[in-house]
Amino acid sequence: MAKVIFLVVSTITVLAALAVVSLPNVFHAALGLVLALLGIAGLYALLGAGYVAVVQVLIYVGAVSVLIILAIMVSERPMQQSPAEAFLPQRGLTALVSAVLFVLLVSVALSTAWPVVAAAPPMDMVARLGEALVERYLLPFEVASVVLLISLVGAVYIAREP
Amino acid sequence: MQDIVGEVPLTWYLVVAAALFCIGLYGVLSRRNAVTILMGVELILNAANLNFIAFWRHIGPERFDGVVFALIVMTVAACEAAVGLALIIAIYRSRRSVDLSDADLLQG
Repeated sequence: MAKVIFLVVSTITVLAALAVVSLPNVFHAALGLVLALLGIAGLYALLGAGYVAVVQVLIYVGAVSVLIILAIMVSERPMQQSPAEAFLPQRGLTALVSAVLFVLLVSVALSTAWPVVAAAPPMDMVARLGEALVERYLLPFEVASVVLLISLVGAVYIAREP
Repeated sequence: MQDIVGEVPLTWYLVVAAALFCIGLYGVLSRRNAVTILMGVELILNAANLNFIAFWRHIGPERFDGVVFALIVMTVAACEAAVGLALIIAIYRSRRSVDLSDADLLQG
């Protein structure tokens, strides 16, 4: 049963990702990205990381996708472009290189004996995650806050009216 | 929840993450529009995050380093998307084009 759900969700995600990179219309590509990010959130939920799935929907689908669509609207290129205008001329070679890389990665992933453990995350995972973020992982947490502040100020400054 | 997770092997998640990574890489290297290139970068980051969470769940679910790493990656990716899109807006304002092949002032 879980395999069926996984196959459906991952097929949707991969097809949406293919739509992102191959549709000439940039707005259609943005919608495909939203679908791909939702699919990845579903994969997180299937892995038992429900908190990360919710954060993915909030941050990626709720904020990053909206930012991307805002940038598409502000840069008012004609959205219906021909493939020659939307793609670089070397895209056949790029597709070949990406396919070769995919074959390499899959062969490495399938031929390694991963030390898989048949355990489960703790039942109070979110509470323990919160404790871990302020005890053991306090430094990355604070550094992430600083990065957020810097990028906030920087983005506002860069995009200001000249 | 725990017993349905174990049915899907780890390698299936790794294959999906590798596929997303390679699709994102193709998108970064073959598109002209700067916003589409950024969308490819977001796909690459999500593929890495999927790898982190899959490994966390199958190899060390009692620790939290995988989840914390994925959350920090998500944070930094959101910051980078914000700054990148601000740059794209600024570039569009000054040269009325988001075609990155035209932005070659510093090219040797």
